[in-house]
Amino acid sequence: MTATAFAAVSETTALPAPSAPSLTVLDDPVEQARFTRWVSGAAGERLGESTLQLSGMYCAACSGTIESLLAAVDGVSAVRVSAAAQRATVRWDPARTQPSELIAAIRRGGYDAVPDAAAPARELRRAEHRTALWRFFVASFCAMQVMMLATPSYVSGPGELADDMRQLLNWGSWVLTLPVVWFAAGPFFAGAWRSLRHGRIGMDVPVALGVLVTFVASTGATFDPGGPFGHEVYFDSLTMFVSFLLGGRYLELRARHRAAQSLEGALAGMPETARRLDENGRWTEVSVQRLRPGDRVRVPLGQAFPADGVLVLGRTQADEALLSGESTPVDKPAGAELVGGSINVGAPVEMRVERAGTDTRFEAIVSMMRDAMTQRPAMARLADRWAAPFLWAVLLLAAAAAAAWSLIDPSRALAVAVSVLIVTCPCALSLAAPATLVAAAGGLARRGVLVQRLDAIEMLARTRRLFVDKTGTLTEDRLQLSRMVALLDGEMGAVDADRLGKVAATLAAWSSHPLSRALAAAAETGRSATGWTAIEEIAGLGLSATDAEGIDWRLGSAAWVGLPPQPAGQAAAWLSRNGVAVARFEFEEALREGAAEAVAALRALGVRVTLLSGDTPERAAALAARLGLDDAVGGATPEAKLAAMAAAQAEGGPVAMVGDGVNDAPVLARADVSLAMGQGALVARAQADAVIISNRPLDIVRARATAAKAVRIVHQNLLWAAIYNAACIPLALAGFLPPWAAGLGMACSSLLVIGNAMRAGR
Amino acid sequence: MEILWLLIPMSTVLVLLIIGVFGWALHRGQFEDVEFEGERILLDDLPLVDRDQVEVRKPPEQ
Repeated sequence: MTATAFAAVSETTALPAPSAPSLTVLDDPVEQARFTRWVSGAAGERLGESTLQLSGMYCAACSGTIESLLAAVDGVSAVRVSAAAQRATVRWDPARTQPSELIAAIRRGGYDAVPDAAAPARELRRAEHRTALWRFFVASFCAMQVMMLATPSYVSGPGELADDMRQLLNWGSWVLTLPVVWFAAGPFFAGAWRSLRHGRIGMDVPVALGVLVTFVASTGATFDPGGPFGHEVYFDSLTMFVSFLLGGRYLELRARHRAAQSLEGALAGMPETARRLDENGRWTEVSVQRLRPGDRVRVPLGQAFPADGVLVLGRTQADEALLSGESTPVDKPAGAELVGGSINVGAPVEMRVERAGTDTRFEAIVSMMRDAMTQRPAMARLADRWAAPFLWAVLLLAAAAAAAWSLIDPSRALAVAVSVLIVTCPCALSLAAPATLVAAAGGLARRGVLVQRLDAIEMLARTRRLFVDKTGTLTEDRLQLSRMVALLDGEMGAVDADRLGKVAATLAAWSSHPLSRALAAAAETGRSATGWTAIEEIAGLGLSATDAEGIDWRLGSAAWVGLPPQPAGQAAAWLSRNGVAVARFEFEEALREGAAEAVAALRALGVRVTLLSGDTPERAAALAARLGLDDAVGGATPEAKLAAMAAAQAEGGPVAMVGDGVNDAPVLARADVSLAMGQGALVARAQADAVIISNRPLDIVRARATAAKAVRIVHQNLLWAAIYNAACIPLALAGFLPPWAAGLGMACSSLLVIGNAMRAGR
Repeated sequence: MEILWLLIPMSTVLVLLIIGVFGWALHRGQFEDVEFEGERILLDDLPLVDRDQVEVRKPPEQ
């Protein structure tokens, strides 16, 4: 810790503990908007309804305790605690209480709570889930009843079922099919209409056409058995088809929601606060959203700088890894530019805010990411690629059948054309991909890879080009000691290398500089091992201290121990004894476990792996050589990374990106497949197609293997769908398609497709 | 078999009614916190199932 800077800052007041912002910040209306919505009470008064995320609950009965704790607060009019979701919804009167009171009451009871900022997103998911379940229920329940009404015509012999009775059964089926077509199948019609308006043909178009044609033809047959549509009805096949499809979509939705749910924990949490000098000359804790240019802010050690600005008092180092990917802290003397979001790792300092809120560099990167997202090249989904040729083939066949039958028997031409359209209803085809992808996503989730966008699985399997970020992805964001070189010149030959290492480690334990931490961690000795006195640290240079025998030791940069400046590129520290340099310690970045194996496995699969790093080109190249990567791009800004991604995409084929930092977020958004590390920045995780919760690089390989298997299964399913259609179409063309054949074929092919899809998750 | 002329329309209407009941339950949120109903018995201070229950929970008068 820099003694001078600390003294300068700490003369007025003690510093606040970095991790415990005071609760009063929650009473700021700007902060309240994150987790509160305003409702009007029974008497028309304005009430706040806040959602709180609870912790410390160990059984269901705790929810009752928390409810009574909250209800006892004056001004609380209603409380609802959900034990399963560990959440409390509280309605309170702003005239009589404040959110800080609520959380204080919960804390007094021995539990803890944080404001729940993810409530609106969860509300949206709940509505989506309800609608999907509702549609699925309507479709499947009606399908069952229609099946029952259709059974008599399947089991009766010729002439056993009277015509009027058949009419009655058909009428019942028609009534029960109405809600399925008008309500449950709505998403398919909407999707088909959307893709037609954009001039594309997606999988929804043949589905909607199949549903519509089947329904119209069967309606015609029900009310006019002698009419142009013949007398066969297909209500049972139609409703079953819709309910199977909706079941697939429901599973897909559940998988997506599960992924979103597991990420939103990061969104909750106490607000970010800053200590600002107010107009009365006092330091007050305010929400970072309240900061304005010109404010003077005090930043304690270990906290993030709350906004972009200039250092006005003190000297420190900033860890800008989150933004630039650069792992070594950057020295910041007074007057230096500070980037909001980077971490203060040197000493407590004061800064002047220059840009706050949406103007900061952090926000600029986030908006760049949003732009990149819209520029992402559209890749057709596997099933969608089949949709257009399939649709044209079916329409052509139906037209040909109608033409041929108008020569043979004009009265049956329309009926035959319609039955061709019905039998080719793309049930298996449209179930093939979603069912398989949901199963694969479930399997990956069990192994620690959360898939947020199911299409990414298809894309990942086809990826031949992968960009990886360095810090935080292949390496951990800390350094480790690689070797110690004893500089044994002159009388120092007597001091053995082992002892020098111990001396350096015990001395390094006094500093929080990353190199010192790495040095201390390598030896794992306590700081009391040697009786150090007169310890002093000068930021940017190093430590000096005197040991029990009165020898002066210095540990730090080359200049600090009196050596000429050394070439940059490698992190190193020097140790001197009584002014004579005795040892050099070299450091390297600590590789993540399995990083080398993962790279080797990916290359064996034919994936070209490129390192894309914001760190210096030399260090990027050194790491690429160490891991055997194909190539490396160093010194890349977020803009340069985007350009590299665009160039790779121009060469064709999907390009994947693995990253973790804010600086990777724009590239992740642009990539065809984006994977984010679970430890990464929130923006990177929230936008990535998949999140590697385990942080293991080997899971990238595993995800790709699962994706490849899933795509293989989708292809098998598509092949089966093609075989089924090939077998049934001749029957329809010949004018012989009994409803039982259509129904049986559809059910069997759907079940086969789903059964096969389940293998993808194992 | 004339009874079928009554039974089939009746069953059709019944199915639509059942769908309506399920829809009511679904939109009241009965399928969202399914674990909670099982744990309700463990709570000392029972949260009310619905508004009408207030009367039932009053202590019996002597």
